Amino acid sequence: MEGQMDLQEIFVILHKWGIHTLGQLAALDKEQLGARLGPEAIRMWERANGRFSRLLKLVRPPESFQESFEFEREIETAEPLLFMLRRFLEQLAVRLAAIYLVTKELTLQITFGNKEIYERVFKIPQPTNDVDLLFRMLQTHLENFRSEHPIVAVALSAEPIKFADEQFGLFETALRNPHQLLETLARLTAILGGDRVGTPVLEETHRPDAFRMQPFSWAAVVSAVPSGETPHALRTARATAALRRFRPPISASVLRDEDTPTHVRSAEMSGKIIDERGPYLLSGNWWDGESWDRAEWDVQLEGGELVRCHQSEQPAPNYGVTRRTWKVDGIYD
Amino acid sequence: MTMSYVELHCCSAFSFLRGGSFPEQLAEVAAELEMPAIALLDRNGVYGAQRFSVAAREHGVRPIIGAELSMEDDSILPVLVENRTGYKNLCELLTRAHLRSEKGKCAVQWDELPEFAEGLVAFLGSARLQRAGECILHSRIFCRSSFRQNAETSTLQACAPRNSANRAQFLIDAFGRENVFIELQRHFIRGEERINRELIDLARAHRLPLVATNGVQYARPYGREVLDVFTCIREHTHLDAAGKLLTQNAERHLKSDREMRAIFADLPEAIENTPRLAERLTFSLENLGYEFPDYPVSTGHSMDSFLRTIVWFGAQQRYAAISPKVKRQIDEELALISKLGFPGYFLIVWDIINFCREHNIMVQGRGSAANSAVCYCLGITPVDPVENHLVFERFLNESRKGWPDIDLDLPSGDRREAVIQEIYRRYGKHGAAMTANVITYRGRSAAREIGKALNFSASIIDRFSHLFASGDFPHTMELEAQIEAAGLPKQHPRMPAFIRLYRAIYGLPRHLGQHSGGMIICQNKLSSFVPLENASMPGRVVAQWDKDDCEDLGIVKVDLLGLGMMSVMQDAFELCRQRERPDRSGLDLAHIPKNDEKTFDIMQHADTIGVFQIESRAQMATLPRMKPKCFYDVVIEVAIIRPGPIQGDMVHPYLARRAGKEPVTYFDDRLKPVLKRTLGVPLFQEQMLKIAMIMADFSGNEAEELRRALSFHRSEERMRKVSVKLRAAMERKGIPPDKIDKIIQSISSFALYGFPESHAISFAILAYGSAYLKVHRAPEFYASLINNQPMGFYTPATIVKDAQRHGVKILPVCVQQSDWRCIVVDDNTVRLGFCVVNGLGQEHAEELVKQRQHRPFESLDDFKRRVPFAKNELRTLAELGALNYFSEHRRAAMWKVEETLHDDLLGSARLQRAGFGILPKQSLKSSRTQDAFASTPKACAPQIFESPLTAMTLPERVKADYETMNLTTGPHPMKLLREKLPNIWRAIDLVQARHGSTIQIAGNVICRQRPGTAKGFVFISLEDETGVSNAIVEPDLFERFRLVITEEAFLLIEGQVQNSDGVVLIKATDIKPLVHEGLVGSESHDFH
Repeated sequence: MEGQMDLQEIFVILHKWGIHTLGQLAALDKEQLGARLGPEAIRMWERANGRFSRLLKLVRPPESFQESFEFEREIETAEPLLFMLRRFLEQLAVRLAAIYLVTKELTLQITFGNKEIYERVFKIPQPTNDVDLLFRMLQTHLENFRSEHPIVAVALSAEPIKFADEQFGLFETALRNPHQLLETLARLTAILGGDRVGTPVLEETHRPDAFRMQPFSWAAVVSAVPSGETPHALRTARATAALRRFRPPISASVLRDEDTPTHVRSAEMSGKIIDERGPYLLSGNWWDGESWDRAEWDVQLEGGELVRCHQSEQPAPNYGVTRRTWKVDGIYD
Repeated sequence: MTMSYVELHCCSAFSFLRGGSFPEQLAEVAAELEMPAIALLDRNGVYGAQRFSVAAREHGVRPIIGAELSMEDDSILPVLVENRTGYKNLCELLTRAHLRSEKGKCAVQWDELPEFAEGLVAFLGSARLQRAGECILHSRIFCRSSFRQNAETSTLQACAPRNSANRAQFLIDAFGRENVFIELQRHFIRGEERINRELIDLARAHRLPLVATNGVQYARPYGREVLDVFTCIREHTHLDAAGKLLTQNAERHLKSDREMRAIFADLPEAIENTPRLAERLTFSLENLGYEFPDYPVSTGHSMDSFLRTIVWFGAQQRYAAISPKVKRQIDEELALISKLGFPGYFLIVWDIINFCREHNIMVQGRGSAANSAVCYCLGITPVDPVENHLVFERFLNESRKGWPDIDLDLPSGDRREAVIQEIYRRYGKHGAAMTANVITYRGRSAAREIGKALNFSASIIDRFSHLFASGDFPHTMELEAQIEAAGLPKQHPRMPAFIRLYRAIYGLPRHLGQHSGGMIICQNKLSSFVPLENASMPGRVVAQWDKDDCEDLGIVKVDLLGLGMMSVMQDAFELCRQRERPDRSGLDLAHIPKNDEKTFDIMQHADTIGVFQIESRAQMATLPRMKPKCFYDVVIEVAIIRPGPIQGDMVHPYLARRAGKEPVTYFDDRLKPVLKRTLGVPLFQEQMLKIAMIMADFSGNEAEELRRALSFHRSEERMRKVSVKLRAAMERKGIPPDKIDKIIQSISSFALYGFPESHAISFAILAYGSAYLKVHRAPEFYASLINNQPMGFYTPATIVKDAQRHGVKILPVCVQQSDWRCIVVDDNTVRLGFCVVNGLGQEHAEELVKQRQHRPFESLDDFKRRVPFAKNELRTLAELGALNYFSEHRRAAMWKVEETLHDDLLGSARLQRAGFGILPKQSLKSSRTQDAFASTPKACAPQIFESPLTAMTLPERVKADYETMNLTTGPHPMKLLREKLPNIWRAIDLVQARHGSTIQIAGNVICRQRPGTAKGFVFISLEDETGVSNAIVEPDLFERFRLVITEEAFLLIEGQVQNSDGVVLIKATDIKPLVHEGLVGSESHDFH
């Protein structure tokens, strides 16, 4: 044999041979079949002829921990929704507890009258089946929840995990009360919005100080330098002095003589500019609504402060330096 | 007075993904900025130099040529050409670097620079900070520690100067102090000043002059978007992920003197040095110094006298008696050829023709050369221009600057390659090259790449490609609507960017290919005039310019075009010769009877599947109206179905006039002699030129300009200019405006695809010849046609069915009978060759034939032992019935081929002694075969074995045929279905259908066409067991059924019958996929 044939290959050959039924397969000569298609074909032949038996294995379909409900009438207040969610949680908790599992993640899905679906995933820091605790988390989130359309259906699914006592590393400490942290995060998210809570990570872009928020993680501290940063890029971007950034940058007004800034005034600092470098022109994201464009200057004030400021207009789909707003980015140490 | 800033460092899109503008755009913007000169330095080449030079001169800007050299250590060295020596050195340096690397790669070695430095000016330190993905000269310089480490560990870089000071000294030594400049660039990027300061220090230390450039990569600021997308394409990423690979700002555009002076206010000398240096760089492509090779003639002869001798000798062969008219024409032509200094060219082409004849390669000159009696006498062309009243001036006239155009049609494939390789052999790898063919971004490719860069989902990009498979259909849908149909909502934030980019990138060069047949050769080294590089095809060298550039620069080109039909005809003639009998002699193109009724009869009935040029759907729709009755009718038929005449609305007038439905009129009575042959309708380029000469008093020179505009399909601008001139001239002559409009319109329509009469005659010869073969030597014709696939308009499946409809018996592939190629068995029968079998190795099939010739196969085991087929090949052969000789039926063979043979040492040894090339295997089981080795090589009855498998049914056999060969010798799949489709008309019955009635047709889709000239209409050809039926689909209906039409292999079309002049077309009203369980093969779409 030129190597063993796999099942798919055998099927293709049998199909071409005109063998489409078990009866046709069983009618072939076992030895001749084996000589042609190998041991796998013999096993198939034996099965077709009832000469091969194997124990049946019980296969459980993966259990889904999901509860859903379609309201008979569209609802516009939170009470019936919360009532339903509490009932869901109680049922899920009982089902999970019966097989010694706990919830590590909840997914809430709300369907509106206009068929739109709102989905939110809640990660549980310390997996639990404590209904009160889980309910409080959902309730906090829904407190400030607003929608233009009435709700027609709700669904809640739980991602289970085996309950395990956790052993930390020597220098790791557990959160004193993870559930409280979770609740706090939920409250913060409800107040500030989902994109404003988490861990900031620097973006790999020419846009200064650009970052994105990653979901808050309490397990490990993420390096502030993006992994894609190459040593070479660091070297070319190296600065001789450290920049102490204002976040967000401070609004300022700048007087200019022709194109050169001569005087800067802002809440943090003001003064005549005695020397300047720039402009350094930067722009990006021209391909969508996020386009940006700025002209940076490094300026030295009378008082000796070295300041980085920039002028920008947003959104700025054009390419020239626009005369809109000035901001002070920070002070060099 | 201070001199204006000159931009000395521009890259165009010919830097392939490193520049965002056409060279013409750079020249145009430079003119707007009132720049006196501008330099183009594309990466590793001068690909765009000619287009750039022409455009710059047109705009009053002096073009300067140079290149960015990729060095072996990945740094970039920009060099500028000062004089002809410098240009020659640059071309040779680039050729050397390109030819030692594979296609698309090039690395100049530092140690070879001094050899080629004369006449070149080098820049040190071009600042390119923002492209982190690319290592540039200075970034190495200023990262000394890492560079040293790299250099020290690499023997390759042993010669490379290792730091900035060394490099500066190295360049001074190589180029001379006055030819090295320190280049400064300022793009308003943080950190660049530090590098510039170090470069200035370097300049001071080595007493080198500074020069400011902007390192231009696009003409205007918005070119930055194109460059960013190109960066993504180059780096295989998308804009969201590209991060710092993208540019920081849009400052690499052309800037004015004022802007640059402001940027370099602190270093005025860097600006002042640019015009000073530009003044020194006097080289222009206009004085290239190219010379066509001389033809070596025997002593006592000059090239003139030798040409004269062989022409008159040829004339005696060609003409039974040389009439005074012929003599006058030849004398005039020879005098002009001699005056223009072209005898060498004619002799070299004649030499190529002789090579072809000596090596039995069919060759035929086409193009305007057919207008020349000299070419006819030299055997270059088969058309007698005197007899056919062709215009010699179209080929050669005194005012013509460039070389005459001689195109040679050769059989495609190995025979053409032999001629190309012979030319390489004669002129050397540096002396001859194929011209380039610049592949540009077109509809689908542009949309795909932009879609990927904009991070659109793969499904949108794929859907776009499927929906708009053949690219640009502006007739029915705007680009926005197209991309919306592919699944991108109109309001998508990236939609505006997509549209912007599509328009900017459309037409920009993508990569360099090779022209299908254009070869350029040179007296000295061709590589002194244009850099040469390797093509992806082994053994081929390609120049960096396309054929239009070469023509512009006066570099002579010989087109060696491969025509599948030439191959078919040569093979067919060969088969005829092999089967020559006393009652039937062999055949060749020159001896085909010219007025054969049967040949014209199949043309009149559009029975032309497989016939050269007139087999397409559009041609077939015209043939019954045209009803060719003589050879010249075929010439018109060939010329009439072209984009030109259709756009100019000229086809119908001709046909209407021919049918007597419309009176024959002329634009002007003065044009009667010119247009009489085509019933007053201009169809040929020659007629256009004559019209211009008569109606607008165009001189030979102006007519030449018009000819170039007509044949230059890339330049609408050129055409527009000539049109303006033509109109003015006619107005001056007092021609009425309506006549002028008509004349201008008919001439403009040729700008897209001009078709010279001489060219049409050359093609008509092949069309007529192939039709004659189809009628009179059908088996030879069909066998050759199948052997030369892929070619032509139809698939082998359709050709086989056509052959069967013409009574030719097509026998299936058989291991005991077939050769690699199809063979003619008798006057009525063709045996398919192994070449039609999918996935069968030629060397294995040829070994089979060799073994069979040695001794016939006695059994399947014997066959398996003696031929080294892989298991898959054996399975395929069994499945298609090629092993039926040894078995009851196909499945019996399929059962048998799976059986494993066991080696027998004794048998092997005996076989080896018998001298078989392949290590044979001997079955332990079979004692019968032992005796077989001792038997004499004569045919004996095969050993038939039995198998437990049931034989295939007819539909199963047809399906197996399509799966293994994409054709069947059995019944057409539609025939198997026919009983179940009672209301569907057969193709053969359609002529009886009443005009205007609604009927249904169905069949295998063999052709879908959406010609650019048909305003969005789609033509579909369906094949059934009786022939081909045609349907036309309106644009709206096409949009509704787009996916069904483009994806389904079998269609059922309902529509109204349009029956006129014997041409039946179904105007579709409903289209459905034809799905039926009995429809074999449709699941795998093999019928395409």
